[in-house]
Amino acid sequence: MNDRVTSGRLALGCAIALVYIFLLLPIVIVVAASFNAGQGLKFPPDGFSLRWYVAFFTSEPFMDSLRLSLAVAVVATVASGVIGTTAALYYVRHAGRWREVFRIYVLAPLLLPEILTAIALLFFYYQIGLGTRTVVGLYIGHIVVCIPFVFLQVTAALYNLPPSTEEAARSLGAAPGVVFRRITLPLIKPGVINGALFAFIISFDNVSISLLLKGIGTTTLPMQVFDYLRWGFDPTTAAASTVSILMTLGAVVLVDRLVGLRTVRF
Amino acid sequence: MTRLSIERLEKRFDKVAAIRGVDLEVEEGELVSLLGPSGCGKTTTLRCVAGFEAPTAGEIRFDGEPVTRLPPEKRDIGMVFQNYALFPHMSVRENLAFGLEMRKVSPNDVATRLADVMSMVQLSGYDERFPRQLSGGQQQRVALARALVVEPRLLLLDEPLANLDAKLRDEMRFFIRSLQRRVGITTLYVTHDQAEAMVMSDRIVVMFDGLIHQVGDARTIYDHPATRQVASFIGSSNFFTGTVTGRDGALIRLDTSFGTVACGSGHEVTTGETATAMVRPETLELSPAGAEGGFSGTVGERHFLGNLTDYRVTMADGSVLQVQGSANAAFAPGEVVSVSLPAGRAWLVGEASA
Repeated sequence: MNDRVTSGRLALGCAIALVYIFLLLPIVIVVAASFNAGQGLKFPPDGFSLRWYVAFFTSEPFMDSLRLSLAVAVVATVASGVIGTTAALYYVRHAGRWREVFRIYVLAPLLLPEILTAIALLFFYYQIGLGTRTVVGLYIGHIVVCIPFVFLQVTAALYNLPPSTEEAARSLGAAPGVVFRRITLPLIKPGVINGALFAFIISFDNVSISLLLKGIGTTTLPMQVFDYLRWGFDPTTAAASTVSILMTLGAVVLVDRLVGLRTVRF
Repeated sequence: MTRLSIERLEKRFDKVAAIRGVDLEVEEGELVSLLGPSGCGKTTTLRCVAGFEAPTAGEIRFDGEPVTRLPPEKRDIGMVFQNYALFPHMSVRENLAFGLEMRKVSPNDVATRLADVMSMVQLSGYDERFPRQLSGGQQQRVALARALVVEPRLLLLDEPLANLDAKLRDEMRFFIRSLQRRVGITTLYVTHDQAEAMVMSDRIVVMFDGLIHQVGDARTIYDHPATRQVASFIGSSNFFTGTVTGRDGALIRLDTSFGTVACGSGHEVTTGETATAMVRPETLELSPAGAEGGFSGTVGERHFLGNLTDYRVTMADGSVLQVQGSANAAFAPGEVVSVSLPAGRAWLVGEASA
């Protein structure tokens, strides 16, 4: 009996380990390849060198795209954070007869293939004369695909907050604005932060939206990596990917340090 | 101290009428319970008074001034919720200070009032605890203190004891009642628990289906229920129907299929009318067969309940009456007995009207 439990656990442990290896090994290989001293993108690397990082950080196209990607991700995070939170508040607390329609509408960018959203936006931009001459369309596209992630997280947080908590504050003399600032926002903060983190990550390595909506003559980091791979096959792309992984990881760590991902629940 | 008036209050949610015309006056310092099954409109009435629901029609007044259009934060009320609704991210002290802060009370006064209210609800020393570190009963007392510390015009309680276990619930009934008396605050109390309403209230308002069926003190509602629903919701009762054949002074003669019963009544009836009467099982008396003035019946079931014995007696016409007698009196199942009914203990119940 005991033996069976133990061997069952062992099997489960092995299965989990295999899944992790399957998921993480490619990343490990890319990171290792970025430190290759040789010419090609290969694994195992022929010796250790930072030359591809130097190549990456001194390449104007890569730096331009990194800057644009970061700017877009930050703007998309803040904007979708505000819009997604507002939409979640409306959906959970105030939406009436059309609440399910409203939910589908907000989640549409997540439910539809992203490339369809991108095509739809592209047509729309040309219809209204915005086009893709500027990066405005790119920003809007990223905001649109990030909103559902914030919306879902904040909605979940709001469901854990009984309306009576807010009503109690009203009964004690707090106007709705004060209730939001002092009661609602602090209590849904973990949801808002998780949602914003998702938004940042989604935006930072988005391809399909950027593919169609990037302004003429500008490009984001994932697009730049893709373009670069079409012409050459040197480890600069591995370095770019590693930097990109570190940025995402950095965002997670930073948020954890600033506010704590596991803000105390009750 | 504030007098609360509710006038012709109506509330519809989409097509469903939750309240269909409620009139109620709560006097200064009085504790009035709204009692009824779920969905009877008692909570909706309370939420209209609090300002969380906008009535479809009618007016709510505090001391004669209409407040119907004021938002909750302008009504100066204290409310206790079924789930307590404490602010989980604030300590006990911060929870209690919240209302005072909203009223811009000076820090010195805040300190005094917090100390007072915490000793009043026996929570001194718990200032820095968080709600999740308190037991259900303690959270309940914090909720009560938070509502009282702002010295509101009106205290509103929405099933505040429903989440507590039975023993604690009994203690809290007396605790809340004595606190309410001491503070002298006008209070509206919503509950579906008849015993709670009877122990705590000056007056009880019994509601069904959006209508008030009866307003009265516990004894009146128990002994003289206005409608059949009131009688069956509060305590157990026997009902029987008969024809009104005349009067004996204040009492009304009702001819039933097992004999003539003298009933009290709170409403006018005319001779020849069909009426329903109710009688409480413990007011019926059993005696050996043939006793004078009794109706003949046969004991069906007998259940020993500790402090009393519960009988089901089948009457001559086949109807069954529930009779509760002293635990000692022993009538065996199958025995023929005489069921007597003290004059006036039967009561004619009427119909609800809007």
